[in-house]
Amino acid sequence: MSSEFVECQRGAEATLSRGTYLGKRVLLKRRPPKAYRHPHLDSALTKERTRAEARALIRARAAGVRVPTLYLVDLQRSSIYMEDVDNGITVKDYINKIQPKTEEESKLDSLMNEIGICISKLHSDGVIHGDLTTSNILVTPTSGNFGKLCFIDFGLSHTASTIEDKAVDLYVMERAMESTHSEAQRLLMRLLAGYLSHSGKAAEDVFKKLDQVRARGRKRTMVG
Amino acid sequence: MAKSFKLEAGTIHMALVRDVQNTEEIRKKIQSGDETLRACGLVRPSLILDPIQLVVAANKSLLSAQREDLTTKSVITETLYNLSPSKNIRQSLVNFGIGAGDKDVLVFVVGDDDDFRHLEAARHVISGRWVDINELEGISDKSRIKKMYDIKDTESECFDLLDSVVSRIAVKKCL
Ligand SMILES: Nc1ncnc2c1ncn2[C@@H]1O[C@H](COP(=O)(O)OP(=O)(O)OP(=O)(O)O)[C@@H](O)[C@H]1O
Ligand SMILES: [Mg+2]
Repeated sequence: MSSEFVECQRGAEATLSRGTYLGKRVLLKRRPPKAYRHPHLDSALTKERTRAEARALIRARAAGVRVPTLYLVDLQRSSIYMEDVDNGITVKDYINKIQPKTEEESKLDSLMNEIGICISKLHSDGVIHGDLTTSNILVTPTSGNFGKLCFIDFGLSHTASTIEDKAVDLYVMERAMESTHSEAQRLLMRLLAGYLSHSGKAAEDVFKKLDQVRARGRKRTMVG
Repeated sequence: MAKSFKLEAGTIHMALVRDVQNTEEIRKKIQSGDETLRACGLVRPSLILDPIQLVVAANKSLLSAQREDLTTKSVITETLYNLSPSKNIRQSLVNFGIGAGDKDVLVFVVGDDDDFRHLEAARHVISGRWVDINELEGISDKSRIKKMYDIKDTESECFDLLDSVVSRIAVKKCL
C-alpha cells in the first residue's frame, strides 16, 4: 500500500508523501531512522517527535485551531497519515505571490490578524507550537480570499503555560518572518494585534517578555 | 446493502440492521462463542457518525494484530476498544458494543475480501431489517457522541464533528 505513495518533500527530519489511504487523499509524514544516531536513541527520539505532534494536533483542534484530520498515527513506523489539505499552500508562498500588489495589502493584514488570534488560542490552552514559521501554516485561497488557516508541523511542540514559552514561540515566528518577508515588520504588527485582541491582558505580560527575549537574542547575535 | 472498505492490511465489511427483534439472544450467542457470529463484531450505531469512523478503528486493529500487539483478545474487541476514547477495556466494550435494549445494530467483519460470507451468514441469525448503510446518518446521536469523546463547544462550533472523532481514534494508544 505504501508503494502507492509519491514522495513530495524530503526534509531534514521528515519525509512527506501523497497518496490514498482508507479511501482518503492523505499526506503521509514519516520520520525515517537516522543512520548517524544510535538505533535505540534514534527510535526513542523519532517516536517522541511523532507522539508530540499527534498530541498537539488533538489539543490544537480542541482549542479551536484548524489542523489536518488524522487517519492513523503509527509510532512503530514513526508515521502520521493526515488529511491532505485541499488547495493548501503555505502562508509563505501566499505572501510572496500577492505581496507586489498593494491593493492586496488589507487581505494580508487580516490574514496576519487571524494568525495572531490562532496562536493566542493555542497559547491560552497551553500549546506551544515550537516551530512557528510562515511555512508551517497553510491557507486555502479562493478567488478574493485566503480561505481557511490550517496549522501544521507540530513535531517540536510541547505543552506549557509559562510566559517565557509563549514569548519564545512568538520570537521564533518573528525571526522566521524577518528572514523571509520584506514587509515583516508591518505583518508582525498585525499578527501581534490579533494576538492581543484574543489574549487581552495576558498578552501584555507575553509582549513584555518578548521584549526581553529580543534583547537577549540581539546580544547573542552580537557575541557570535 | 452491506458495504466493504479497503484497509491497509485487509478489508472490513459492514451492514446496518434496524428493528432487531432478538438482541438478547444475539448477545448470548456471542458470549457463548456461537459459530456463525464468531467472526462478527456488533457496534451501537448511535455512536457511529459515518463508516469511516469504524474503518479507521478497524484499520488500526488489524495492524496491531499483524504485529501481535493487540491490547484486547481479538481484532473485533480491539476495534470496539479503538473506537472508544477510554483506556478501560471493559468500559469501552460496554459503551460501544450493543446492549440488551438496542434495536439498531451495526455488524462488521474484519479480514479479507472472502470474509464477506460471514456477514451473509449473520443474516440468518440477526432478525431485523437489513438497510442501506446511509441510514446511519439518521441514527447517530451527535450530542451523545460529543459527550462520549469529550468534544467541547470551542471545537465542535468550528469543525466537523466527524473529523474530530476520527482524529481521536487515529491517535488511540499513541499519546
Ligand atoms: N496536511 C497537509 N496538507 C497539505 N500540505 C501539507 C500538509 N502537511 C504538510 N504539507 C506541506 O509539506 C510541507 C512540509 O510539511 P511539515 O512542515 O509538516 O514537515 P517538515 O517541515 O519537513 O518537518 P520538520 O520541520 O519537522 O522537518 C509544508 O510546508 C506543506 O507545504
Ligand atoms: Mg515545516
